[in-house]
Amino acid sequence: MELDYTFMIETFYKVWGGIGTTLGLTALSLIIAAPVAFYMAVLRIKGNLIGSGLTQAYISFVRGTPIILQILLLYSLLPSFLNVVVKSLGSDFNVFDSVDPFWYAVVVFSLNTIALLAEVFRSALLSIPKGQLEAGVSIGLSEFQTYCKVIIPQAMVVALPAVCNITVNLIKGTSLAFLMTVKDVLAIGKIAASYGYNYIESYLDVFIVYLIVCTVIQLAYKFAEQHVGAFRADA
Amino acid sequence: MLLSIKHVRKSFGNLEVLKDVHMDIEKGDVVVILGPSGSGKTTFLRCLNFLEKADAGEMDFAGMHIDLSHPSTKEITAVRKKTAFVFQGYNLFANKTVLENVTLGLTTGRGMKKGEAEAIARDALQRVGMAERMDYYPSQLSGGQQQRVGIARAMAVKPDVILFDEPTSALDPELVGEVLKVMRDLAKAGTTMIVVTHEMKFARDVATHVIFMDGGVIVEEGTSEDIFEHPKEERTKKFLHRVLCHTYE
Amino acid sequence: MNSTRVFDPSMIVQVIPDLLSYLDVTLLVAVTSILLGSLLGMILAWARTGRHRVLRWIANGYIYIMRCTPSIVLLFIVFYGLPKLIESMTDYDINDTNRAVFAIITFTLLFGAYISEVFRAAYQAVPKGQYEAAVSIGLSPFQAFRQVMLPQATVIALPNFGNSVINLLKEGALAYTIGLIDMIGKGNLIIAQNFGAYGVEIYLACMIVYWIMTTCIAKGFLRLEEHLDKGQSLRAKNPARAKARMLPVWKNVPSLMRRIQRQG
Repeated sequence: MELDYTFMIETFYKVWGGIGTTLGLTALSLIIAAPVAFYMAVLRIKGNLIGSGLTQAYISFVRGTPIILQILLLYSLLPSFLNVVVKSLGSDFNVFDSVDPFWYAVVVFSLNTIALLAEVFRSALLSIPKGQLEAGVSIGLSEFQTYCKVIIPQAMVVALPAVCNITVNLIKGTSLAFLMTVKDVLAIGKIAASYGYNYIESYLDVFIVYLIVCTVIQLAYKFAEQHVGAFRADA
Repeated sequence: MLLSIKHVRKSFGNLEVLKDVHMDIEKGDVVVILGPSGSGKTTFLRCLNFLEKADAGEMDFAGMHIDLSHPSTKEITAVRKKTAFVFQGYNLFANKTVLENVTLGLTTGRGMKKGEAEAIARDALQRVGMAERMDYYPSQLSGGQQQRVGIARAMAVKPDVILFDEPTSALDPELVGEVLKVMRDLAKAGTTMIVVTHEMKFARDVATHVIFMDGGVIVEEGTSEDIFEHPKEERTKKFLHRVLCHTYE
Repeated sequence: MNSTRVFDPSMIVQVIPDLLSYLDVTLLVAVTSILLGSLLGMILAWARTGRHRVLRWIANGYIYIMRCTPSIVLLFIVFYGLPKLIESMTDYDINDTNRAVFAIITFTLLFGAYISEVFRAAYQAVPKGQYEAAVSIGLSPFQAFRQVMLPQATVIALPNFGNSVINLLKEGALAYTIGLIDMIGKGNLIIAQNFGAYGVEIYLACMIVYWIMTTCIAKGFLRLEEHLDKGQSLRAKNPARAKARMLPVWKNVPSLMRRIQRQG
């Protein structure tokens, strides 16, 4: 099989240009999701029946359905929904023309990441022995202080490998943003591919870009793990 | 001669743990191997059953002459079928009941019929006082009970010799007695045993032959009286002094 | 999408039977990929735990690459690249092959990589002493693997295997992007027939079907785990102990009654 190498190299640079969108989408989703997910984790552990039950249902629904359907659903729902809200506020802002689909993607991936992170945070919090809380309270800290100073820092270290997994999966998952006409790595590759029917060359480019990005992210997490996990015997 | 081993050598990386070790055993012998930790006694025992591969050595056993550095699969299987091993950490099969633990070596290992195997297993469990717990899983037993089942598992296959690797070291002090009693009974019944242990009283009372190892070599060997009453080597004396004072304080 | 239409919940119920008639395609792709992928995963796990350095290196590299590849990119590479590759090598045109085949190849490659990790970790989680004890009483290495290691590793692997199955089922939803008419493909056809209307309702209907399936699979694996777990964990059901716990209550009721009567 003959590959068109000039095309492949040219396209590689084009595809590489989409990396800002891919990483931006990933980072924004993580930053938005993290605090909400943490709140949900606490609700699952300490919340009343309704709060904990609703959270559990949300997590189960998001984790139990394909992300591609979540994208398709929200992409049919969000613009019209936003339009209704804007119209009822009496503004003549045109939602359909003026909102970059990137922001719909941010909403979709944030909602998805919340559910995944909430489960990770919950099990991380539960993994910290109860004696840590008791020791904190025994030296005169409030329960809240003990959580902030002792338990949460430990839990975050426990959660780090799982958060790394979620990040890698999220980066891969954002490749579906092309369904919402977002111009990320895959979308650029797809456009280049259909232009001259050089499918394999461009998808191989896309594949290489993801390989590089995921490797860098994993190395970064490994580095972080070694530094914040210094207090653990096995770290 | 039931079993004879010569010139056994074994290194882990740069560390030479066995330097030319030998041993001869007659039927009915109870050989106890003593020595400080790290002296190579456990490694030696594991080499006998090919759980560890020796770098060099020869074994004469059951009409076979085996080069320990290049044992054939056939030889390994043959030796393992004629010996049994009792582990420090019991190693009972977690997915099998007490009875199944004992029958597995007979049915799968030796192709015996299930009913026949169960009769033998019941008898073995009776002898170690575990017949009432046949349907339990290992996780539901105390350490002492698990080790008694481990011994029953070894007895059941009617081996020519049973190898014991520190069978009481992982046990709580109050559970050591029940396991040692079972081992005494076995010795009384004429079972050939090679025992690595730190239980000095057991060694003194039961052993027909005592080997003292240190630094990968056999320092001294003899009857239990030779070793315990009239040790010749300085290293043996020092070791016994340290251990016995500690034990009988 | 542009019309601001009222949401019609009854439509969800209406389309579900129509969608379900295409569920078999979705399930066929998923089940075939899981079976073939498990086979691939076993080979990979065997290569990774084995002594052969080159094999180990290849398996590790393969798993790493799969971990970094978005499923949809792999799907596109297989769908567009494989026919070209085969045509250039054998002059054989497979462009007309059923699209399900491309989906199955893709998901087999992915599932094999994920599941080999599960298999390897489970096998290595069984203590080495279990194997040693088995060969020490005269079992052959294969018998030791079959009778002692495999049953224990299976129970350990089960929860993660279940998770991977659920993930694969969800990833399988991507297959419609190469034009396979599975459940979602059918849903899109219905939307197209209605000139873009009912998107929300139909996607919701699909999600409900997936939600029910994944929840049932998760429950099923939990049951299976309890059933296979023989005393390895504390959760295990154990006839002897259950009996021991129940009998005293049983026996005590009459004696308790008698005591009460005497006191009265």
